[in-house]
Amino acid sequence: MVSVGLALVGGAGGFFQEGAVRASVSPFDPLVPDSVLVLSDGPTLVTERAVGLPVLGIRVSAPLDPPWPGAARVLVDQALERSRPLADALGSALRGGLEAGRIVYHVTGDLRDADELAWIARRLAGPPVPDATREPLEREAQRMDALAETAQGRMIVELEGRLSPSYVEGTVPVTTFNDVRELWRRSFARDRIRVFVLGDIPMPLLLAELSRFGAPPVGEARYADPGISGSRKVGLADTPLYAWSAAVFSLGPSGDAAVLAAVEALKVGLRETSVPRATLRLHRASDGAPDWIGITARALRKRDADEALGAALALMTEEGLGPWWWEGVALARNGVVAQATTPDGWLTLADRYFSPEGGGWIRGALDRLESLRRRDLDPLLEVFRATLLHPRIDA
Amino acid sequence: MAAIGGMTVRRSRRRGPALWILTLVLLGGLPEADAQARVGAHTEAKSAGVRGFVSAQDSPLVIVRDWSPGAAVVMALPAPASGDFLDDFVARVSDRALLAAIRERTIGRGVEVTLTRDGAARYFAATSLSEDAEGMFRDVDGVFRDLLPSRHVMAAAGAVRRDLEFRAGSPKMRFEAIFQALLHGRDPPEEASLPAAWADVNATAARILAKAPAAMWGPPARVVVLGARASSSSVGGDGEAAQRKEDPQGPGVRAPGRLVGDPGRRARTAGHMAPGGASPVGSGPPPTLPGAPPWLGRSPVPRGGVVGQTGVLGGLFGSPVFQEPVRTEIVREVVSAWVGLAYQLPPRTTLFQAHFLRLVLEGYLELHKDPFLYELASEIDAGGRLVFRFSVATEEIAAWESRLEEGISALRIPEESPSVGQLFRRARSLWSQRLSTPAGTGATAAQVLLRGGSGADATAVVRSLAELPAFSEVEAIAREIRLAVRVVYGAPPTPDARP
Repeated sequence: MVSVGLALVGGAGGFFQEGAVRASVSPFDPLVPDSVLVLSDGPTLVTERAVGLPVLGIRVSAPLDPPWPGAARVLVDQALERSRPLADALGSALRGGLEAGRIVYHVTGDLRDADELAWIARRLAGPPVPDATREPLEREAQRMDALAETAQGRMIVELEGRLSPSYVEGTVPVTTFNDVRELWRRSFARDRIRVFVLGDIPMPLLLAELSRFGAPPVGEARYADPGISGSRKVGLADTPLYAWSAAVFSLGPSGDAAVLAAVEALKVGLRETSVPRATLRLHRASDGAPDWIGITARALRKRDADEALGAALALMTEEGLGPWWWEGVALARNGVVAQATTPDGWLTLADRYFSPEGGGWIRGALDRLESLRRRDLDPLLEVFRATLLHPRIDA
Repeated sequence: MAAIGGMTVRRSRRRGPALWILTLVLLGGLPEADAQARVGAHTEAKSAGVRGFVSAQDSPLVIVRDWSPGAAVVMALPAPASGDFLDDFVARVSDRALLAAIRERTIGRGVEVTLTRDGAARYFAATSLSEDAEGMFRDVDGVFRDLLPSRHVMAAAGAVRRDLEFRAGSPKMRFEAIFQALLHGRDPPEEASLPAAWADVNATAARILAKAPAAMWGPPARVVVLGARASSSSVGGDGEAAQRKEDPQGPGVRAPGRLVGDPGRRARTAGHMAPGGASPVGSGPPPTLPGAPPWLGRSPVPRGGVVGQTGVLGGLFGSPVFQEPVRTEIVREVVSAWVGLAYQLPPRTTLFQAHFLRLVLEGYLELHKDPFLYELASEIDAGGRLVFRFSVATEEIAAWESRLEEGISALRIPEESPSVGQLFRRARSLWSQRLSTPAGTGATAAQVLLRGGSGADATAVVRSLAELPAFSEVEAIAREIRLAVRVVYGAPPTPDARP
């Protein structure tokens, strides 16, 4: 048994003697985890003892810090590639990626394969290996080239570039193995990892399997972002068939209940907006910049594209979005509820609404969605006005 | 909120399942005798964190899981019996309109509605929080009992026709028309475009609008799956006490080994594949092709490697294992071929065993996957057959046809196939994942009900993951499995197949 210090979160707070397991957030509500354990020099372990659930789901999540989405994609790619054979042999579901500014891995499989599933989770969070990283690095370079060739892709490139202090317009980062290893060392420091476990597994087993992995802890220290090591210039290819117009903006944190409702309302509003000579699309701008939303307009003539974008942005007022607001609230709630009923979705939402101080979690998000008022739209529109950008995505 | 022993405990203030089930019984009127054991309120089958309540005749099957934040209402309608394209068109229009009507009826309730289809049924699953299950059920059930709004039907008819017109003539669609006809014991259709009747959206709409869905398609199989934990506290004001009444072990007893239930139980209650003495298509003599159009090639035995494979298997086991029916081959210049294989399972096979076998064989094919396999799908159809469809490069057709048969052979002699144990484990995990969501549980239970199984049968299948089928069971089924239909669309031309 690993000797760990445990903190009660959600109750009185503070440290208890080593080895004690006292934390309990809510043993009755399945939308609030049973317990949150902050292990000394180890991960934060969030557990929900789901009696009768035939599967065990584990989510490992780490902050994207420094904000290098390209390096994170390579890290995830190589980790999944190394773990997939075992996961496939077990018939377990495996996925990974960037979500809401965090690097995440999920593995879900039969409860009786708990040992192997925990082993896969630890392996996913392990250090990158040079040999296994070569191909993912090539794939990332190809991905950036492919993105730079499309209008929507350029929007993502620009947004991801702006995350770095050393960003130069018209360039894309060149990720190296050292960047990937450095990202892992910082993001997957043991005391920065969150592990979410959903399943009928006793706590001692969890502690034995999942209390010690990742890089050495960094404590509370945070690094200044040195910027990714290299970058290269990309040219904007001509898009002779179409003219484009684009806008990117934020409404606030992507998981916020009001933002979820506003995005759904915007989707409905865009569907109802008549732009006969153009095509409008709503984008989640980038995995690495989750709080940003993009709208592109495509038309044969630049003037039509600009007009269509103008019509779309006209929705971003109280009068424009108001008629769709309540439908947006209902759709957002439907989405959260449906997601919470699947093990994978529950783990995702538990991380998104991680509330170490208690009172939040998935139940809190649903309560907030139910209590939304029209006036909750106003602060979002202020954020919109303050963040609106028009990236140049056309040659 | 209450403080218990230094812990902060939040109790849910939601309505409980007992109240809920009582409401459902009242909705359905007094229980009446029923040959399918739907009688007597609350016949309870409990194990593995799952309890099935079978109540009044007109009530849905209610399955209560110990842990589940969500509830699902699943309504399943049988797949059109004829397998005919026109019937399929009507079903697709009706389904789409139903989906729109359910979404409209439940808007604002926090309900997500999905539609899935397989060879046996169409499943409408509405998902919400457990505490909202009662209202959700009333809404969804009401849509099936009422006439569909004409605007939804007209919109659906137009959309489905556009979709089918877009796909008409594609190799996949032509393959499917022939495969479906043979699966349903009919002659393969002419290779023509869509039937003219499809164009008549108004006639289709009128047919759908004439009756409520439950009257048009027959009463749907109705299953409600909900969690006990979210809603237990409101019954009698003490959730835990109420839960203890239902569960003698009490909610605090959560040993990891609890998934393993009463070993004898499954044998007593398992639902069988073809209840009521149904004679699934394909169990008789191989389909013949009287008056088949000239473009349909026919060969009495498979070509290439499959011939040798069949012979070898027959020799190994001392009897012809695969009595090859007419192999329907459609010679077409296509980039990728479509292959359909349907195997008749022994009538005693349970639904769980059938799905398990399907997953094991799918795993075998995945294990031997190569870049020439483009698509793979499998299902258990309404006739109790194990159906595989795959799309492969034309030069690899023979190899892929025989690969599936190799997989079946491996199951017959598992001791000689070291991968079989691993395939069992993989199948177990995939089955568990299917049953891990309320919608998946509901669809599985509804499948049993649609096949004529009782509520107890359905609950038993949901609990099935407590035990794996024994090697010997699967081995015995694999030994008796029989190829019923084989269709290859897009085979490269050969001298014997040319007109």
